Amino acid sequence: MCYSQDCFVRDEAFGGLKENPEAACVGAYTFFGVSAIDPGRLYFAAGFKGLTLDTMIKVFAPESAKTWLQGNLPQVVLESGFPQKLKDDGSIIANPEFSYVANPFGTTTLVGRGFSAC
Amino acid sequence: MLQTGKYFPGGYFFHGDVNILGFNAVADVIINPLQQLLLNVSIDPLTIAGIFTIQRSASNSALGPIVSIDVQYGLLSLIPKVKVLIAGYVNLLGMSAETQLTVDNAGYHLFMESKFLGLFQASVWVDANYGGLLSGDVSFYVKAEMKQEFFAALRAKVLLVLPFLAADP
Repeated sequence: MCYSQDCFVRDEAFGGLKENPEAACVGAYTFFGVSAIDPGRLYFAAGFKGLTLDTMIKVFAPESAKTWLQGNLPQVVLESGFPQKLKDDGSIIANPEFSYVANPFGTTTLVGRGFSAC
Repeated sequence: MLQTGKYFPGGYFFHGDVNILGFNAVADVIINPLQQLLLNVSIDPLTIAGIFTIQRSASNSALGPIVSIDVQYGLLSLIPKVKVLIAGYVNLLGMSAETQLTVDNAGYHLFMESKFLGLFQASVWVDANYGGLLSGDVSFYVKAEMKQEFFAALRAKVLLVLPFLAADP
């Protein structure tokens, strides 16, 4: 789930789409897995992206309020929240993120179902 | 876009990096019943008008306090690997407290110090090395120190005032 504009751009190197770190986007992912016969396959994970005040104003505030807020709120207030950080490959690291996996050896999302990620 | 192949560690996992008005805090938690217990929390150093200070140590104002506990007890390891680091210094209106604690499989180090307005100071150092336990190469060191200047300061103040009191009829 990703809300805003231009959150993805064409990946010229590998084809398809990749995240656009330049765009102000608010996003979240969640994955879960459950098995009726094997409780050890239970897992749940969620992560969020773009949860800074500045990004949320850019994404959710009406145009008039957006201009006023961005012009009047101090930069230190606008930067408050969960800041965006990038991996070496330029993709965005979810922040915050949490998970519970019943299998002590961990799991991958290949064995469950996921909602869309941003 | 469906993401596939993302790995999540067993047990509970949390990562968060929060910025509140320019003040940063980072937390990482992994609780895995078979492999690892990890708790890593650190915050930025903070000084408020010279009245309140919180930082890594009395001499290190560039870093903030940290609590880091990493215990790895995998099925194949006979002895758990332990790494603990707790370091912090707080000063409020001249009253300060400092704690530096490191524990790992080779040794233990603890330093604690409290100061009260330059009148009272107590310090404790503990060092234990047990990494060479099998070869008999172990050591243990404890030192405690207490200084109190309160009565000396009080006496100096009284002596300063006494001549005036004696001259006053």
